[in-house]
This record gives sequence, structure tokens and C-alpha cells, in this order.
Amino acid sequence: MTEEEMKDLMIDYIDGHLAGELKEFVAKQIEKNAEHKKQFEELKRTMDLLQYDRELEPDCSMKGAFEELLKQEAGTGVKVRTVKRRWHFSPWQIAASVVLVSGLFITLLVVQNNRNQQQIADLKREMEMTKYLVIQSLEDRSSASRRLQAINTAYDVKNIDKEIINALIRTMNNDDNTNVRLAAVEALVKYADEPDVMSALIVSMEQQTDPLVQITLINLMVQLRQKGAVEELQRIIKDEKTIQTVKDEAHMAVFKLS
Amino acid sequence: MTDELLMIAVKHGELEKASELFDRYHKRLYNFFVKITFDRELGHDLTQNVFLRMIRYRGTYKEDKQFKAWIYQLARNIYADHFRRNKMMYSDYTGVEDLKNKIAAVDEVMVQDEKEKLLYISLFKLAPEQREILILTRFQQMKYEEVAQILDCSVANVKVKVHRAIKQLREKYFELEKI
Repeated sequence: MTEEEMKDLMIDYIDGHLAGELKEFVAKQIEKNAEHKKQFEELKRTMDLLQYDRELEPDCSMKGAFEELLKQEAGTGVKVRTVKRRWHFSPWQIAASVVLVSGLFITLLVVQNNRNQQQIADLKREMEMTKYLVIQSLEDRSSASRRLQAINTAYDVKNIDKEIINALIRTMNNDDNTNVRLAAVEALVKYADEPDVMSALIVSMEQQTDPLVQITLINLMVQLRQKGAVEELQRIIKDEKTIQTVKDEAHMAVFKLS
Repeated sequence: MTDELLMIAVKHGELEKASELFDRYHKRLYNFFVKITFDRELGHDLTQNVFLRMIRYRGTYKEDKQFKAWIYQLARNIYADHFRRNKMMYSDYTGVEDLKNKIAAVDEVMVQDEKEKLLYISLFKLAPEQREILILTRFQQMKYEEVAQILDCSVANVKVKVHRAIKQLREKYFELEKI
């Protein structure tokens, strides 16, 4: 058993949450081991200290202000209304509609099938071309605006390809231009449900050198309620190189996610 | 009448029922804010803000949600938003003297009693999330299940957080004793 596990048991023991053999085991450990005894006494004193909390009385003006607020709110008389529509159809009308709609649907399916085959082939070709252009443009070191344009195109692609995602991740982490990196973050957020994208966003928080990008990523973790980012955020807080503003944002993010 | 039924009535326009909810919750929310911020005026304002939001956003209350969890979630968001806007963090106060003065400004008695003084200085030296978990579970005697709903995590996770906070508090407390 590790020291930390022993301390956890001692806290449970002091709280009266242990019973039976486990309780006896902890009692014996405290009795026979001097180090455990010291730890136990310190934890006990700490937990006793918590009982010294004193309840503070709020200012009595608070209630008056609240009553005033209620009056104002009642005065505005804003009520949410729901509009209910009632439709009345006979069973014959419903049955006729079902037959008509089904017939139309089947006919359309047959006609559309051939067209769809052609469209799918066209789309595939178009997607391959877009992918090629996006990846090429993202690697164009000479023009930040071209890279931004590529990110915008990637943002609009409906079924994004893994290769484009990887290119966006590389851009987010390595591009020299802050605006390009921020745009890449924004584009990747769209795919944050993908585990690989989320891990890349989390890891990137510490890799980034620009506070603006770091703060954007930190806020993003809060927005997405990404509890998995807490460990990385703690590392950012502890990192001596992190500037205070970023640390403050990270503290608040840990608070919100904890 | 339960908190939930009162809030449902408020949601459906019976605003006067909000007064009862205010009576039930304003003191504990005030204590939550003052002990997490160590600022009485701020605690007052943030508490009022919670009830303002409760009224303004009454339409968003989900009827199957426990009211206590909902209102404390409002409170947590208000606290976090306030500190984000003001860029003022607990790390601004690190010296024991600074902290003593800050706590004395909250309440003179808090620093006159040696035990209370040690408790609040040690508490203030913790990260806000650790301070918060101790306020909820130890000062406000909330069950781990209730806190789990507020923090949107598992009960086991709450227990881990409480234990971590107690261990950290022990360190801060014994560091102070050495001074």
C-alpha cells in the first residue's frame, strides 16, 4: 500500500467511514507505526480545524433588493406563450396521403439512383482535388493568406479527410503566423468529437508559445467541458515559462472543469 | 413545498415563490462566495447576481433537475466569470500578512480566534477548486452525491477531490504552524 493510499484510509477512518477488518487494520497501523501515527495526528488536527468554520450573516438589505427585483420582473409581465396548432384529418385522408407519398417516393428513388451514382463519382473527384489543394496551400510557407484561405476551405468541407485533419493539426502546432494557428484551431474545433483531434488540441495547449493561442485553447477546453484537459492545464500552471495571464486562465479552467 | 416545486412554479410565472427560495438559499450562497473570495462586498454582489440570474433564466430550469445542483452551478459560473473578467486570482495574495489583513477585512473575529485564523489562512492558500470542495462538503455539509451533481462528475471523483484538498490543507496548515 502506498503512502497516499494509507492517508486516504486515515481520512476515511477519521470520518467514520470504515468498518470491520479495514477499520482494525488502519487502527493497528496507526498504533504500531510512528510515521503513520504522526500523519494520522496531523490529518486529525487538520480535519478538526475545519470545524472552526463560522457562518457569516449576510447584509439584511439583500432581501429588500431581491423583492424589488421581483416586483420589476413581475411588472414587465413577460410570459412565454406556446402556440398550439390543431390538425384534423379523417382516416381516409391519412391513408390516401400515405399511398400518394409512398408512390411518389419510389418513383423518385429509381430516377435518382442513376443520377446519384454519377454525382458520387463527381463529388469524389472534387474532394480529392480539394484535399490536394488544401494540403498544398497549408504547406506554402511563403504566403500566410494562402494558408488562411486553405483553412477556410477545409472549414467548409463537409466530410473531412484524415489527411486534411492531420495537416490542420501540423499547422496549429507549427505555423509561424499566430493568425494562421488560430484559424487552424477554429477549424479543428468542428471535429473536436474525434478523439485524435481532441487529444491534439489538449497537447497543443502546452506546445503553443503565443499566449493568445494558449488562452484560446484553454477557453475552448472549458467551452467543450473537456475534463481530460485538467492534467495538461495543471502542467501549464506549474510551468515556470508560462506567463501569469495564461496561468490565471488555466486556473479558472481547472476550476470550471473540476 | 420542495425546492423543485417552488422553482417550477417560478418558471411558470408565480414569481412570488422565488422569495421562499431566496430565504432558503441566500445565506449559504453568501457564505460560499465570501469563503471562496474572502471579500464580503463581493460575496454580497455575487449572491445577488445568482438570484438575478435565477429569475432571468427561470425558463431554462429543467424540471427533472435538482434545484440545489442548478443554483450552485449558477453560482460557480458567476464566480468563474467574475474572476475571468477581473483577472484577479488567489495567487495575488501569497504572504501570510496579506492574507491576515484580507481575512480581517471580511470579519475581525476571524483573525482574533487563533484556530479560525489558521483555518482561513490555510484555506485561502489552496487552489480555488480545492477551497470550493471543502466549503461544499465540510462547511455546508453537502453529501458527496449532491456535490457530484453540482460538479457534474462521479461520487468517487468527489471523494478523490475531497481527500486531495484535505491533504493539501494539512500541508498548508503545518507550514503555517512552523512560522
